[in-house]
Amino acid sequence: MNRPWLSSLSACLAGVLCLASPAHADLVLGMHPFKPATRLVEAFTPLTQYLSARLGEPVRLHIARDYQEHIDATAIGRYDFAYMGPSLYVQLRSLHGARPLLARQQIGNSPVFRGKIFVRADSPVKRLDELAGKRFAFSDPRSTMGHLVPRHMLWQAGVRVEQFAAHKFVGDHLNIALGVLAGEFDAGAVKEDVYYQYEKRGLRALATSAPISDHLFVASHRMKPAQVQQLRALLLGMHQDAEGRAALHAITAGISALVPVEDSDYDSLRAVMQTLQELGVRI
Amino acid sequence: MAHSDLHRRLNRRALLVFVLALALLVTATGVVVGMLQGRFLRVESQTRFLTELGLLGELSVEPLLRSDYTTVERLIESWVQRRPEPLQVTAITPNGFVLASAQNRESVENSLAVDLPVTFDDTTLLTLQAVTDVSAREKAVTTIALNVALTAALLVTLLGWVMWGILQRIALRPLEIEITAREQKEHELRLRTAELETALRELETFSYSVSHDLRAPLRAIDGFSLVIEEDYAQALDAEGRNYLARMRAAAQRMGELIDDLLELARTSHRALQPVETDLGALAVESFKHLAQQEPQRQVGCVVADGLVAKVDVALMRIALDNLLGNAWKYSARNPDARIEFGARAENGETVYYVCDNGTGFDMRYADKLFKPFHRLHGSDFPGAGIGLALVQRIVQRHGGRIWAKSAPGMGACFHFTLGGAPAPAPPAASATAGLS
Repeated sequence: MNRPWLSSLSACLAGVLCLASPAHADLVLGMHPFKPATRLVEAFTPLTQYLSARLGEPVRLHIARDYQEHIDATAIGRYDFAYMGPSLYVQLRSLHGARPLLARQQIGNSPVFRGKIFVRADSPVKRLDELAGKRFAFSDPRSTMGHLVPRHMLWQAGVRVEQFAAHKFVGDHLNIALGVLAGEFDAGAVKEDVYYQYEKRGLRALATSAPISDHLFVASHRMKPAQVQQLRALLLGMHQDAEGRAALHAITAGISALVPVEDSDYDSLRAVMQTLQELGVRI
Repeated sequence: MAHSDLHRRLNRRALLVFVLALALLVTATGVVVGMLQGRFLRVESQTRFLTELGLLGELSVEPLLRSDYTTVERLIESWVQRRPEPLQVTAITPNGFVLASAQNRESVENSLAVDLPVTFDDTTLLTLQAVTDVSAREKAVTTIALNVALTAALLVTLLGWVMWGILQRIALRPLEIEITAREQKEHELRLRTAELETALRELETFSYSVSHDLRAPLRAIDGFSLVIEEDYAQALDAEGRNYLARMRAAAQRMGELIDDLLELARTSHRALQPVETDLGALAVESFKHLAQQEPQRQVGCVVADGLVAKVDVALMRIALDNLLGNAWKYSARNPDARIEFGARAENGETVYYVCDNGTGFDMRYADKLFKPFHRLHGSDFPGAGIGLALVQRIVQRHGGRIWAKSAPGMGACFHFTLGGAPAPAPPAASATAGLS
């Protein structure tokens, strides 16, 4: 019987125990809380099982309490490898230097993804510049499509956060969509797969972001090169067997494969974040 | 035996009716109890459901305040899936958006709809609309009511059956045995009574026939004796005439005996014709007749007033003639003879009495008083000894009884009743002492 809460709890406890112990036998996959923990456990458990079977040692999942903890844990090597959002990676790279890159996800045939700024379908707002004076929902200050990219889009449209009647960081992207639908917020920004998930329930997009290189797997700098190589090869070859494809689809339905990744793939995002920092946005 | 079967059937039927009525009563009570229990269960179940739904609402407040809608979604979905009864819960935000809608079964047949607003600080954050299926609960309630009723009926039936067994063993069976024995005795008694009645009738018929048939030759003896006495008396010497006279006296005596026997037989055969009669008047007539026969005697005769009874006049006249005649006869040697006819109420019935202050008799021979041709005084007093037997027969034919109290030289009292009531205790001696 599936017990997501119990799995989540055990995963978190395992993670805490893992972090409390300096030496551990299991490989730990770190995760930032871009979705509810239960859904993350459901989404990534097939992957950890897949890797455990092929690496010959257990792979456990750890979900960070917030994005900052995720960056910190990845930076100091508490995770053996981490699944990261693009902005987190850019920040990790910027603050802590290069880390071995393993692979990035490819949805459909594209290794990039977009974000949406949206309102309720019955909203009178038609353009981004009409959002001034409205209530706006972001996910996390370090979220690529839940804050950084849309905030850059808003700036380009001439709307500053200070002009909102209110704005709030509500955690995962689903809460943004639901918060707008529930009437708590007038508008919000999410990555496009979340938007399409809720569009039929009454959302309307105002703008779509430029493509940003998608989520990626980053290895700890403590991981031995051979192990990095083995892990990278495993990830990049997952789409070639059914079990691998099933594990990929569990992460996000549209993932077709994990593909090679370069640091330069995130230059466009790096530019966005640079602009925002210059505007005084704390990232 | 037929009566026993009837009793048994009646008892069984009565018990069956009783058990059925009890079963119906208990079943009805069971149904009522079941309904009340069902109502209690409904209220309790609804209250519990509302409480648990309220708890879900309370759990939703915190994530709602954090704009954590997905947690609320998961809470509702998880709560609904874990509920045992069919249930559908819809969470609606204040702007009408359906935040979550979870259902654990396809069909909700017998539904109970509840709207529960989730509020914080007087602000409605969410409204939980729950539709739950109460058909299982209703079935459970019906099942409980039926079980209670059926169990009660079964228990009562079982109890009735056990009671019937016990009742049969400890009460009905001995009763039936006793009834059967009594019926057997009654049957035997009836047979014996019938036999006795037949024998008595035959005897009376025989007596009547014999008496009647004896009269003719007796008349011939008496008649020819008279002819001899009248026409041939000179041919006889004094001794022959004496013999002839004694022969005639004996023949006449025999005639009287036959007359008495015939009277006794007629009394037994004759149908009663009871009418309201003044017994006192009959007694007075009788006294007059006695005084005419013996005008030289001075007898104090006392007759009470108001001695009215429904009797056969002719028979009662005979009875009183005999009783008063006896008293008259046996008080002849008392120069201050006194005879009293009266009545008194005793134990709810009227007891008549005829008392005299004559010679009386010894109570040791009282059982012979009413037997025909038995005489306590031998030839000291005239009579055939049939009178009191005749009186007893007449009194018994009126449904009464007769008895006597006396002592030698102290007079006698004859008491009789004319009703069908059972014999009372003998009258107290003091009631007659003053008259004896």
